Amino acid sequence: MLGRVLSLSGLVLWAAFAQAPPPAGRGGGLAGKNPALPANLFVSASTLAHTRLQHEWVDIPMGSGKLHTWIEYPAGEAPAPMVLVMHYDAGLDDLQRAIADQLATDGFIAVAPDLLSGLGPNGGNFDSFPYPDDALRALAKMAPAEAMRRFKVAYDYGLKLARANGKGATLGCGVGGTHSFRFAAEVPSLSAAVVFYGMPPDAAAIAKVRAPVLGLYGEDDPSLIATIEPTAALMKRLGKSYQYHTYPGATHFFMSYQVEGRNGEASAEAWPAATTFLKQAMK
Amino acid sequence: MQKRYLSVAIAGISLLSAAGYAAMHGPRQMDSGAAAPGLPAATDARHVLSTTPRHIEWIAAPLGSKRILAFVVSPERSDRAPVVMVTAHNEGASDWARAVADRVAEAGFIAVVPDELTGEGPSGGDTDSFRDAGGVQAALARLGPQEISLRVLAVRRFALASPASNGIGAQLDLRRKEGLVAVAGTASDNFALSDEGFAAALNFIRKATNDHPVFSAQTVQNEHAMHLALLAKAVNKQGEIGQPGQPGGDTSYYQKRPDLPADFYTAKATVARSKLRKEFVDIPVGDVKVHTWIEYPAVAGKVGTVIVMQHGAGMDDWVRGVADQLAQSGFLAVAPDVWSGTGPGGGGLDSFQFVDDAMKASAKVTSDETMRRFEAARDYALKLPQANGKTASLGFCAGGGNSFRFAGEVPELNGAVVFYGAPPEDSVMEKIHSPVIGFYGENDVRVTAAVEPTVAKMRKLGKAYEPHVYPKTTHSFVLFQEVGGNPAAVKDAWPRAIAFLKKQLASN
Repeated sequence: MLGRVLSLSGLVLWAAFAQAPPPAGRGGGLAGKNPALPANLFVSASTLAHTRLQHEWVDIPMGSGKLHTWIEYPAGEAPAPMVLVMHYDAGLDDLQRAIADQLATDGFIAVAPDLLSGLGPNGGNFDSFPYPDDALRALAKMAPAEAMRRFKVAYDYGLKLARANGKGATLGCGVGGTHSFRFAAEVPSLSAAVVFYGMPPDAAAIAKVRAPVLGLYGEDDPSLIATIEPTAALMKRLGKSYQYHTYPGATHFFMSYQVEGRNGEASAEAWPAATTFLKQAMK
Repeated sequence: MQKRYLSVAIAGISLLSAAGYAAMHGPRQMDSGAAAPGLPAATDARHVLSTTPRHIEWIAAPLGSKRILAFVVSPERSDRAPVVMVTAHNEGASDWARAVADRVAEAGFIAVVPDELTGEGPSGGDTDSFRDAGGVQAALARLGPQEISLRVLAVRRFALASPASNGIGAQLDLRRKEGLVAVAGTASDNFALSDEGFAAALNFIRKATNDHPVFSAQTVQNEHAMHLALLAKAVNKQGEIGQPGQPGGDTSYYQKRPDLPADFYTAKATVARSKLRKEFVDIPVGDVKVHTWIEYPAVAGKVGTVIVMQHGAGMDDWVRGVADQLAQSGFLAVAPDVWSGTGPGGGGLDSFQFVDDAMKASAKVTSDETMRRFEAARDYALKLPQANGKTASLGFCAGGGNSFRFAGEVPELNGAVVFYGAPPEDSVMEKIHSPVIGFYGENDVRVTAAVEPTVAKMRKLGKAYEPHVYPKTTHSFVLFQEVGGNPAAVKDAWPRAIAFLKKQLASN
């Protein structure tokens, strides 16, 4: 399937799409939430506001500062595995917290730290930035090592939560996916890493990966698609577990822009693949 | 100076027109010894550009954080071609230089006219934005020879990398004052600025580039070859900003670009920081006051009005960002909140806590009522002192459909721009007077499937409809500029929309 769409000429592709009706299995639409999928851009705020799951903001001590972290718990009282949600390049916005909400709905303790904690105007967090693109640019300046440091603080905290069963995994989209892959190299105790359209770390880091990695990519995302084959070959040679799925006609950020192109179908297939993978890895 | 984009609309560059274009211009043979085309006179330049059978387009070459525009005329040949940079000393990308480029393409070369004055004109315009030749010369002098050659080189590099190029380049510099055509490349020489000199210059280039063109309408450059090069550039640029694997390219993703509207992330700051005069007015329509955002261009004299029609998420920051971009381009921008009166306490979009609640409530506003509200906004705008009496509509998604429909409901409209919106039913389409230009994403199956039947219907009705369909591009590609084929699409579509509006809304 990889490369199938890329190899077709635009005209042929257009004609093919024009003739074939869009397949079933889509996201929730512009103003609707599919109960089985994270909320899209336009329904994330109301999804969070209306969630019935236990949730809280926690300021986790981190050196002399604090890591502002959104935590959501699955229904019931039973111990559960923990998933560290690594937000994308636009910061810990409603959309990313809605991913945490969906993970909690699916039975995981979701821990979503705000990488911009203390880095906003007057030492504020993500929500202290006046404009979304200010947060984007601030995050672009953060070195991966600092992101790793912050995520480790949240990971250690999450594993010690009263309801945590001691197993932890990571899940991130975009640069969050990149962080998720890298985290697997840096934290040997990690049980699994889900990478939604993120980059692999360098070969030396990949050699240190212990957890199984699941990569999920849109085929209309050429710079990420190009990473798959070399990554798969290297992981195989090193005896690591790397599964991946690619979705035709889907773009980068297909989970965010579920109403665009064939991203709805990609989301509808990729999300259950991710949660199934996480459940198996943290049985 | 005339508007540079006049000629672009005629090109009808779209995937859909490719087949028809080839059918109209069947294969033909021409050996390289055939009579070389003559040098067009400056007074014929516009005529040459508007009647050329060749494929013409504007491209944008990256140079640092800037983009340098260039006018490209493609030869009708089935093999890859040398690139000839055509420059006119002290004239920028003038009509004459571009008309000469057409002749250079006729001789079998990819002719590229860089606009060294990209972004240097009044209000950030290009060569065509200067009032007279004196202004152009002064601006070129200000820029200096080093910057000018950097810009020409950036365009050259970009053009040479395009799929239709064989990687060999030459430059043809027109020096009107000295009466010379100066050729530079693997070999250099000067020729007289005359039909004979020009023909000799082209022959010289053909020999110097060792070129043996195979003339044919089955061109190696498919209709989107340059755009695909643009897409490749956007992909290569990924990761330059921020961390590897991050998208964006040179769109308005991380940073609002001066020549593109803001995207989802940059809209709020763009509107907040815009220095243009802007205000909300309440326009009464029946019992409802339609909350309407108006932005005024910073230009003297009367200008055309664009009614901005909201997308599926309502008249939000992003739609206001589009209005700001239109005002920056010299139009009066009027963006009504069509959902006025549907919210708590009779408010509009702003009165809802959650946008999805507003979307659901918007079902209360019928299609007829929507049209009434846009018409009221248009009537209001026409009375503004700055209005020149010309109006166009421009909308996205549902607003794109409304823009198309508006052209049928308001016969006095001067133009309609449709971004990924559905056409109206036949009875409305029949009433359309103004030309309609449409921009669509190939991966927007539901909306784009309507393009081909619409082409047929509009043609049958004798209406002007110019659709552009972009490969690997999604529905809201102006809102989400950073993913898939969207960067290339928005960079091609937006300048075309502005050119269309400039043409349709020009004062009499």
